[in-house]
Amino acid sequence: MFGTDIAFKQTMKIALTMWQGRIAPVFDVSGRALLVELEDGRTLSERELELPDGTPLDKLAFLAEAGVEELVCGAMSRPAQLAAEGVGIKAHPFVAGELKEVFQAWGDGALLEPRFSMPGCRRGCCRRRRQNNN
Amino acid sequence: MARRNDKNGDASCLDILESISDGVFTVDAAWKVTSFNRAAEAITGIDRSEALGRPCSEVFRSSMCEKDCALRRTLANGKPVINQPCHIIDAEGRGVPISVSTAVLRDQGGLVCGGAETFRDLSEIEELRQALEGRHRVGEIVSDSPAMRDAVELAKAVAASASTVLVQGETGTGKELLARAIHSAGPRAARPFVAVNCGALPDSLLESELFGYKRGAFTGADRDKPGRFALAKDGTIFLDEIGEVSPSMQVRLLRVLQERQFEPLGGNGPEPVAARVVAATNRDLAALVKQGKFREDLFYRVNVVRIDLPPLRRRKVDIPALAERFVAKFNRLQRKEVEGFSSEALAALMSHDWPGNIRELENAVERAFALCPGGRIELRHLPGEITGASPMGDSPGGYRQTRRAAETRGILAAVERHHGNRAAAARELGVDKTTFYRAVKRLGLDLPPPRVAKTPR
Repeated sequence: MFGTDIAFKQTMKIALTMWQGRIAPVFDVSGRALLVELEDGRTLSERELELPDGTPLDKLAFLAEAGVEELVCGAMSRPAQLAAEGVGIKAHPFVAGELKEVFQAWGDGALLEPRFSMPGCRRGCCRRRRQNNN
Repeated sequence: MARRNDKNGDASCLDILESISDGVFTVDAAWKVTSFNRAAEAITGIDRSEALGRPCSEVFRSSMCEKDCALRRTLANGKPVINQPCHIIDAEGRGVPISVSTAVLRDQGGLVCGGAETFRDLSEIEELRQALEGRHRVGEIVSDSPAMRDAVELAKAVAASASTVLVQGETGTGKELLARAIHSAGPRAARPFVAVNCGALPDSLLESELFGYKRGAFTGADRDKPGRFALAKDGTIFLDEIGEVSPSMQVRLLRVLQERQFEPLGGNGPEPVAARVVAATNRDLAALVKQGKFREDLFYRVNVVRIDLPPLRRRKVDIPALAERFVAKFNRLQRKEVEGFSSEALAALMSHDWPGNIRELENAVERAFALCPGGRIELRHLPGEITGASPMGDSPGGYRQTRRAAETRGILAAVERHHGNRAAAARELGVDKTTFYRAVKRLGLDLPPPRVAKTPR
């Protein structure tokens, strides 16, 4: 059947914006991301990507072309959040923390824990993150 | 005022900081926030208790963080930064314009022990500036697309002049909206804006509509009726679909534009045209001239300043924001609380080519509203011609959207064939139930409930 091989290969790519070993504070101006490829929940590969200068949409288009399906990042402007949805990337914005810990939390479905929230993000943006996580 | 423990000591200093309207925060050598005044709380929306001890970039979230931090520069070269503009992103994703100034903090031995940053909320100033400069957004037109920005900048540039403008663009691209924006952004904003659809009326009606008539001009003309040129006074007259005008009407219009006067039917003499003319067409007027269907001299009269409005497929970056505006509009009109679009639905909107442009997008949202009771608009709520569109368009992520769309269709079709039975659908697709449910969750699918299959008699 057409969909079978594609649907259930279970490989996926996730990007986490990075700066000084932590999730980069502002997606709209971030310069680097860690791209992780997984299969059935197991990490296949990791590499760092240089994000293009320019608008958030340029960065999102770049990530989309790299096959990224989910993005964990810091503060993200509303237009960038909409654009992420538009290019088919599920964004988890307003996340803070050490890169590896955050990646582990993502894998465990624990990104909504307060210790991974940016300051001031217990309402509003967190609700959006909850929607994106569902 | 309560006194607090502060690394820098002086309690009266803290009182002063608490009383000023500029935000002030300090950081230590590890870039952790060590103080955060009341105004900083108000501008950022972040409580002091959540800011203290956190990396300042995660609290402040400014457009300068990471690559162009003003405080980092100051601590490196010892020179303060004064009033550098930037913006910060609040918890709702809104950009708040601010200006930033910095200073080095030194201990009693003169060694650098941290930094201080002062910032001012410029939101009110920004709004006042926009009001003074006459609506920088050019009416209701908002766009992040480079293609649209050229049209907007040209509209702003031409607004102040009296030049005739020709707006060229496909149906549904917002030509009248742009004409109104040009009118509103110029000195005629308080004067009338009068629109005429030249393509909708036969010549006889168009003539009386444009130029009006005097009492007794023809049977039934029992009073004077001013035409649109008269009604526009010294405002703006918008001649839509000028490419549809008949050859004889073209001659009349040419004379009006050349001599800047018109004559009402049955009138005694000409009346002046004081209005600025904005014409619009979805045809290629230059091509019509070559085909002999549009007068060359009239073409040069209307083509003084030409603004091309790009089709929606060339400004796809604007689709999410436009769609959201339509959702807000229909929520207001229909008193619903639709929350927006699912990822799949938005991806479908981005993949479609929109031959009917923004009007077609609005219609699609309106039709989705009829099917969507609340929550998010899903793929199934969208018209078929949009969800069936080829995903291999020119939008970024075209291949991934194909894959997601194929997976989604495959799963939904299997579930439908098995009357909502998930186990049977998974078996048909050749996977175990765990894998099936994982895919459903990853794609964010809302499966129909299981139902009993009707057995044929």
